[in-house]
Amino acid sequence: MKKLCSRLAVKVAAFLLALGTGVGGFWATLFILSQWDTLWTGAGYYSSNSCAQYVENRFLQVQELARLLQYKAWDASLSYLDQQRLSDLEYALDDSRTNFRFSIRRNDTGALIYSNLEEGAVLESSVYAVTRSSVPVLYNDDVDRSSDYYVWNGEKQYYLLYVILADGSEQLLTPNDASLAAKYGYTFNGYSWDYNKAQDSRLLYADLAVEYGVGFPLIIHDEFWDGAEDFSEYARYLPALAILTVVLDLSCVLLCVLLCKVVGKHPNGSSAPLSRFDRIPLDLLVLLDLWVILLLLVGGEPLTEALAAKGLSTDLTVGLALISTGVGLCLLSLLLTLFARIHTGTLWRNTLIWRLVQVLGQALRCAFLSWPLTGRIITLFLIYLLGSFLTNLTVILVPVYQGIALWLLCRWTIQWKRIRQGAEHILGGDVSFKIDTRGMYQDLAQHAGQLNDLGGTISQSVEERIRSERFRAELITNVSHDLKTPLTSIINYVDLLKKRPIDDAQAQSYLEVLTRKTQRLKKLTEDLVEASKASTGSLPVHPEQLGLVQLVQQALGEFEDRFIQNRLTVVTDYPEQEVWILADGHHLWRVIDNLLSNCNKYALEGTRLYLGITRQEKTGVFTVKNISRQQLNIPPQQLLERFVRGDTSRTTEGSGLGLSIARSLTELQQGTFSLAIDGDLFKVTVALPLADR
Amino acid sequence: MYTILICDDDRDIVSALDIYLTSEDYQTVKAYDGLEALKAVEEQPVDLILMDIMMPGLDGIRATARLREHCNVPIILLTAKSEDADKVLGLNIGADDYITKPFNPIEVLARVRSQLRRYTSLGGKSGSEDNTLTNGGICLDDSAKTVTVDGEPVSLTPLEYNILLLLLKNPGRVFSTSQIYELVWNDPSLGSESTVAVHIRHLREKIEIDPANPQYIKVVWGLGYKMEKI
Repeated sequence: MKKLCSRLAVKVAAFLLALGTGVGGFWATLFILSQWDTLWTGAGYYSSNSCAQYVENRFLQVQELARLLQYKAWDASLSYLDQQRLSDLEYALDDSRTNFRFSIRRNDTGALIYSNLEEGAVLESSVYAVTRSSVPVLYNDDVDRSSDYYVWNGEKQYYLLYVILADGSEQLLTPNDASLAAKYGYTFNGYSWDYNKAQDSRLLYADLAVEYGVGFPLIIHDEFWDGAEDFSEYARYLPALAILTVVLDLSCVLLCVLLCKVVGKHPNGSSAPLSRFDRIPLDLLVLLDLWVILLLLVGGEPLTEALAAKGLSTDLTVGLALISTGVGLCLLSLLLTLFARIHTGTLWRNTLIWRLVQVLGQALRCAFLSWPLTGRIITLFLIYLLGSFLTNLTVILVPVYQGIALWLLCRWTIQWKRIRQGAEHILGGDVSFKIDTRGMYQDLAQHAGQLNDLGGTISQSVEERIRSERFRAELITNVSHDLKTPLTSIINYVDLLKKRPIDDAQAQSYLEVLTRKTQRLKKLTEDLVEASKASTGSLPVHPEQLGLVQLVQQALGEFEDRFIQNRLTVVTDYPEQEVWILADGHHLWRVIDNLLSNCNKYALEGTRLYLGITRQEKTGVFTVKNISRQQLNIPPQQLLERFVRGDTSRTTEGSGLGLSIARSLTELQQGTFSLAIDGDLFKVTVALPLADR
Repeated sequence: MYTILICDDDRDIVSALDIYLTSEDYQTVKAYDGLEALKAVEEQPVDLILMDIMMPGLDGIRATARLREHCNVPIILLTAKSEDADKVLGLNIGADDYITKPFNPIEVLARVRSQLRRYTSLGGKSGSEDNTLTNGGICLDDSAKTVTVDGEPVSLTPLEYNILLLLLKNPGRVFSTSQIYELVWNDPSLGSESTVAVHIRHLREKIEIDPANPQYIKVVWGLGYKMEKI
């Protein structure tokens, strides 16, 4: 929290600093640029702005003087005010009061009218640089010449010109009165009247030339003198100011760049939640900002005018600083919010236009999608037809348009293919396969989504089944595990009890029952664990190459005595050559063990057991056939279920798990296990893959 | 008089074993978890340990590992786990034998006797004579034609004796039934191999403690039989 605070404070400080340096840099740059020549050419005061300003003022005075002098030349009777003004100007422009040097001449003849140069001095050699300017002087210009007017004489094909004289009377002129018209400055060009102000005798017109410059060196104590002194004073600071300007500008840019980088980002790099300001729609914000800036600039215009006219004052400084700070604030905040939006990726989305487009697009989409598919296809086709028609008008667009149409069709095809492949994947058992629906057309995406959901549902149910199967297996293992411990005690104590001297024959027979049943219980728990392990596939299998005949012989060796006990005769049918198969010897022994003990338990006494081994194309097959003691009225499939036994009374020993275990173990070894019942004939076939020999 | 440590968290099993063992004139010490077993072994010398695997606190596997750090008394694991991996782990960690629950008291006594004989007579009377073949507790004296298992004489038929001799001479080698038939009967085997299997089963019943889980004559299913080197 503290870190965040400090970061926020740093950000605010950077913002304010950027604003300050920006505004300061702006004005400093403006100033330095206005002093550009001074700074770089070293031309000094004469080419400085302040000097130019004074020269301008002096030139205005000279202009006025020239006008008054011309008036005087035309008509000696100048008005009192004009006379006073004339003498004032002559006084002000006297060579003893100003360094400004000038001469007024007639522009046509070049004759000197007035000058403040010393007798015989040449302007060029006494000033720093000469400026020449023409000064037209008009007298009686207040006659309303604009009230002269033409009349079109349609019949005689020429203009009539009515000239207004000074006393207000009119005079009619025709093209024939050329000399009279010339007096008023008009000439007929055969079509209309041309006017030349200089020839109009109603006006007095003179074209004067003024040449001027500032004396070099400065000798008189006037405004130029003061300006030059000021200039030399502050010219010393100019380079430092220039450096300061550069520093201000650079730091402003640097701060702006920094701020732009951090704004809208969390300290840890992720995008930060946007402030309320950053959430204002961008276009609205830009308009608002521009409007405020415009207002500020318009408000600032009189201030700049005043600055130009009167120079700097405290009020102006404050005013300009406020306005420029305002503008700077607007621009900087706009810049920062732009970057914040870019960083959070909301630049376009957070605009009114975008929202409008969004809403319209949504509405159109909804409207379009609510139609039946056929309707949409027809609409699309009609749009396509219309497009074809329109593009046919401009031949060059046809390939482009048809190309786009083809591209859209190809996209549809590709997406459809993607869906088909996805469906094949799901059908092929890869139920967790997900079709990528990005960028798909709405209808296809919907279909793909349904397929994905289907796959998800299937995989979920499969997973659930596997989980429950595994859970059940674990449960069986744990339960039987917990059964074993008390069972151990029971077996042991029954055994101990049997060793006690008990005279009662009845008690002895009870003990026998207990012994039998505990043994049975022991066998049951063992089978239970084995069955659960075999059926869940949690047993490790190590397939090896082994001889099926050999194995069956070994197994028969284990069972011989028991078969003899039950008067069962074994008839074997082996091939001469050993049948080499790929199986886990231990597991396969368990399979055959279970099958043979099944025979031992359920075969009718005195019958024959048929054991056969045959070699088939890719498998070695072992078959056991026996005659059941009990009637087998159970379908073979049910016999394979756990805990199902041929005798429904369940009086014989056995857990009912034997066949189930045998099948599971066979399947674990990639073999097949099948049962057939034909009357009392019970037949088991076990097929295992042959080893490559 | 041997002292046997019985360690199981089920008190009934401990006392049952106690009864059996004392009736066979063994002294017993009882412990109900791994830590108690370790303490008991420190307090007095024992000659054999019967240890359950699943116990609270310190389990049998860990206790065995601890015990093996400093003593070599025979340890027989009693386990309700019948997974092969558990048995292998138990034997690797230093146990000498294992008995799966629920066990038969006679089997327990036989294994205890076997382990004790081997422990006490270790290196005592190894066959110095040329005609004596031994493997684990089996001792076959070919000149006297006698066989003893853990010191107890066993009577075998001539065929059984010859099969045992063949296997003892080649410990670890797998013989198929036809090979055994040809070598022992000295006849070509013509489909009478199951006779061999029957004889071997009888032989196992005579020399093995638990014929269904043979210690010496192992059945290599689908290949033949072999004498496990001990």
